[in-house]
Amino acid sequence: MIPPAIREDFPILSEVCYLDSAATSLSPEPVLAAMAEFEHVYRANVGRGVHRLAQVATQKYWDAHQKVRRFIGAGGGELVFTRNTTEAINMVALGLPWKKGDRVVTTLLEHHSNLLPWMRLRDRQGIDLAIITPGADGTLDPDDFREAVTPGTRLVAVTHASNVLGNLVPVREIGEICRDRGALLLVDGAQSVPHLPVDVGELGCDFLCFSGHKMLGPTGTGVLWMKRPVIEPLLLGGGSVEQVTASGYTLTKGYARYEGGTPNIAGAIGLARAVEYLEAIGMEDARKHEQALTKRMLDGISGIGGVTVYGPRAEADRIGVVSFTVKGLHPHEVAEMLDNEADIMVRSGHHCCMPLVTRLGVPDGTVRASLHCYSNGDDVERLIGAVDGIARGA
Amino acid sequence: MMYRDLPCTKVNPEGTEETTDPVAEEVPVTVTVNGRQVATAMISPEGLEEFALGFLFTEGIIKGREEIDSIQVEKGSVKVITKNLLRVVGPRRTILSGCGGSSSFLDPAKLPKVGSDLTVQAEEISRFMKDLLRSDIHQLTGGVHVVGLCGDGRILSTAYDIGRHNALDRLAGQALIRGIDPGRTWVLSSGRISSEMTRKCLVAGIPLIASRGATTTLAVSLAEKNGLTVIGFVRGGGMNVYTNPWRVTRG
Repeated sequence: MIPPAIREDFPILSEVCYLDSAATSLSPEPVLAAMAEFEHVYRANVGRGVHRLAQVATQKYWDAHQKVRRFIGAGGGELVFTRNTTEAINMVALGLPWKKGDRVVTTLLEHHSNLLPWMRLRDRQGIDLAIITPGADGTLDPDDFREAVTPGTRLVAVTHASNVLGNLVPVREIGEICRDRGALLLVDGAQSVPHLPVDVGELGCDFLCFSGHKMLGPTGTGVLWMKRPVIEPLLLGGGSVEQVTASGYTLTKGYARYEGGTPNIAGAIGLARAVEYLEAIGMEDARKHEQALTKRMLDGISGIGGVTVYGPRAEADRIGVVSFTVKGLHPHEVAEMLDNEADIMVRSGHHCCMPLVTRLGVPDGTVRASLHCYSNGDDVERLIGAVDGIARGA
Repeated sequence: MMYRDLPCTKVNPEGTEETTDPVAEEVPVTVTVNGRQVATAMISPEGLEEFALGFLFTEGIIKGREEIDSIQVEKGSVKVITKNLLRVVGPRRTILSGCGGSSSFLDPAKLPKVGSDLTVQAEEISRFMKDLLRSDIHQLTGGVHVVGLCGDGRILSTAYDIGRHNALDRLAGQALIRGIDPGRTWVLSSGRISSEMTRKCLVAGIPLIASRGATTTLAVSLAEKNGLTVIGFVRGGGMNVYTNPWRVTRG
């Protein structure tokens, strides 16, 4: 049970019906207050100075890593702050030592951010890239992975939850296949970590990438967790070294090795506060809350004439992302009408998944309504009513 | 490790012998709060987080664990950040491991009174003291104090340190971490009950402290005034109760 009062922490919710959380979530007041406190009380650079403010900022920044670790059950490994999921995935793609012919397996369900980095490796370094095609509702068949993940496969990159269709991918099963064949597993958790309990040990992955801004944190924050810090840092420079002489350098250990340059300190502190906020709500409760709303949204929207819903049914393992089209209208038109006529904010288009929407037979994309822990039944009913009105008029 | 084997020449009436002997470790540890150095303690090197928590608690710098935002333990330092970042603590100081070296932020005239109605059986005090002093590390080095936090008819936790008051701080830290109500507990110590020991008990709200050793006049007067029970010379079934004897029951 999520206390309805949490909506007061999100002032935007009193103005509009926000159903675009899969694109970016809203940040609650305590997150904004934590960031403002950094600016007002202890703004200083981290890992560098010895004065009091620098010490407090450095420790708060370190502690932010610990809090995010706790959130994903990452007692071990290395957790690095990035700008977003995209940067985290690219760090792995650019940081692993590749040889021509190394095999990478990914899927057509992926966001461009988990597709393009591997395509570039294919085009520039001769990586053998295999792309598994999902079923029409987004389902990925583990047997396809058993076939595609050959003993020579270096890495499998797969999303935990589709940002278009909302289905959850059987990552644990895929992880077992990877371990069996000696392949590394990278999981794009951008759409799962903000909405359900995620534990890296249970997932069995080697890399988990996710975004802070989709989990109530500030924009410009993301996370890369590595079971073992086997990659080369993307950027070298201030803060990432132990020692430098004219003839060489020694990189430091820990997250600082991967975070060259002054990081987004306020962002990290905001993200840590967001994680505490989510922990106070309880991720299991958040999941149940969103599941119930998703079921109502799917039932309501799929019952409207002229509307096609994509993705798995409400009973399936899924998150609160619902994609649909209205016959005779471009998805952008529908989104514009929802905004103009009902103050409802949704995403429309290809959702950074052009190959997937083409596979679904809707090259113009879909309208996507997506939930978060702060969404409520009124939001869902308002959407159903508005879509119904639009479909009748179309 | 709490101790190291060091080379040592044993001298006795029969002659000398080159050997090694276990010696308690002593290290300086700096505690900072919100980037300000609060104290440097000469202490045993383990369990620094519980020490820092307990120290801040028994010095009245924090009232509870919920005031803490972050604790970072590094070599030679424990850095604490409180949720209220504007909290500033007085000038730095050094706490020595031995007796009489400690000073405090607390005003002795403003120590809290202990309200707990806890009573303890004399027999239990004697029995637990024997159990406590059986500790390996205490026996082995002869230089490490042991203190125990008792309650519910058992020893809830024990702590070791080269300083008695450091050991007591560790206990207070453990109590905070485990959410134990200090008012229902009492303390056993292998070492003397000086005023800093009674002061820490009072601030933590612990109603009774018993030692195998002696106590001091200042310790007794602070205890008398503020409702703490002080017991010395817990040996061979007997003990000296100096203050508030009503807490010690027989039979």
